[in-house]
Amino acid sequence: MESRWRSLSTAIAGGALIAGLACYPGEISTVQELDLSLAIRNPNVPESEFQNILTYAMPDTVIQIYPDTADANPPQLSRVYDDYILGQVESHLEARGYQRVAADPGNPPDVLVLVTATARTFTGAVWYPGYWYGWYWPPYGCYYCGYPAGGYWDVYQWDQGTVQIAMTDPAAPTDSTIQLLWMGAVTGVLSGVSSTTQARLEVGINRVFDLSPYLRRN
Amino acid sequence: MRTLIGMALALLAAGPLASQSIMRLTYSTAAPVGPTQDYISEFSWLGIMFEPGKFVRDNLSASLSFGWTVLDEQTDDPVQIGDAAGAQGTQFRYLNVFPVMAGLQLHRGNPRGGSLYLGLNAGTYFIERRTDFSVVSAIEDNWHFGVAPQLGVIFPLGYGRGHGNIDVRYHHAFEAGGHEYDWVSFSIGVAYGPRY
Repeated sequence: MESRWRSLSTAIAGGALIAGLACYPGEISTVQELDLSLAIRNPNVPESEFQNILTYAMPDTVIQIYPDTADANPPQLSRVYDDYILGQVESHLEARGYQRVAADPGNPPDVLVLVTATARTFTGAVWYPGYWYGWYWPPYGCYYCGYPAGGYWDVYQWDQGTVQIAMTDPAAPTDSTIQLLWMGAVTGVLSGVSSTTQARLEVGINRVFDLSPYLRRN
Repeated sequence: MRTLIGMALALLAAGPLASQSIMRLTYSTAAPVGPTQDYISEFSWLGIMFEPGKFVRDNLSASLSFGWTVLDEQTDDPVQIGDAAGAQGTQFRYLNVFPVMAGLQLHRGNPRGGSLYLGLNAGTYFIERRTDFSVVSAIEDNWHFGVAPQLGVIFPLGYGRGHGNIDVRYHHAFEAGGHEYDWVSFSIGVAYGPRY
């Protein structure tokens, strides 16, 4: 009788331990579970300031950036989703009451919106000294200018394939940095193109704007 | 009053169970309550408790408690970071709880074997609070003082010294590292030792 009891106890204890170790929860099972959306407002810019914005200009391409200016063969991401990303951003900004206008140095918009994608993992920069005159205003062509890391916010390591949406003041900077008003990011989503990429982009960009309720025309 | 004192003395009187050892091994589930729910609200199905003890009186046992309980939750809730930033993605939240406690249990025997008991445990909880967010993990380890009142029943299974055990316990881990936790555990298992 006692030996049967000991066998039963041992079986319960062993079973519980094995079940515990086997069922330890929460392992990442899909790449979507690694996606992260971020939204950052420049702390020096009050939320109310975004209510005064009416017009914005946005390039019709996703700028690809990487940290190494000496790279003879700069990495490239797929451009399959450029139009989709830009359409999503435009749709959200329109829903917030902002109007897209053509870039015109003679009649600048209230803000510029720049959509970029990280072609190679690097740390630090959320904006890119030097491209301002070379890219946005004519001649519109320098997609791989090799913007070095560094800048006003040293907040994050940007993984390859991270999409960033930056809102900046259109006034030309007085030094080598451009101060962002706001930025959003969806990390790593373009690192590999698959059947889920578009759905991940949609969720990620939606979250960026959900995290920024202050982005709204008064 | 005289009746209450009489009952207390009767409960504490030495008898045939005094000095017998008791060892309980239980599978534990847990329901987070109070401030714990702000972090994890899901019911836990993962836990184990081991409690060696001894009857110091016929109706009074003393015990030590060792265990492991895992509370976890997967959530997509947004997180505010300071005044100016926010983040949203899949988070895996965990509380790994390891209690090390001492307790006293007051038993009321059943004529057909077994007992109903009421107890109070006090000691420490080592709690690992871990949040996995994308490829980033935030881990906080803290020792908490804690108390855990309990209610349980030991019932015969027909194995001589071996019995069944059901135990319900309210756990309170006092604040440490900026966090305090409450949860209720429901345990079922075996108790070995007393010959009723």
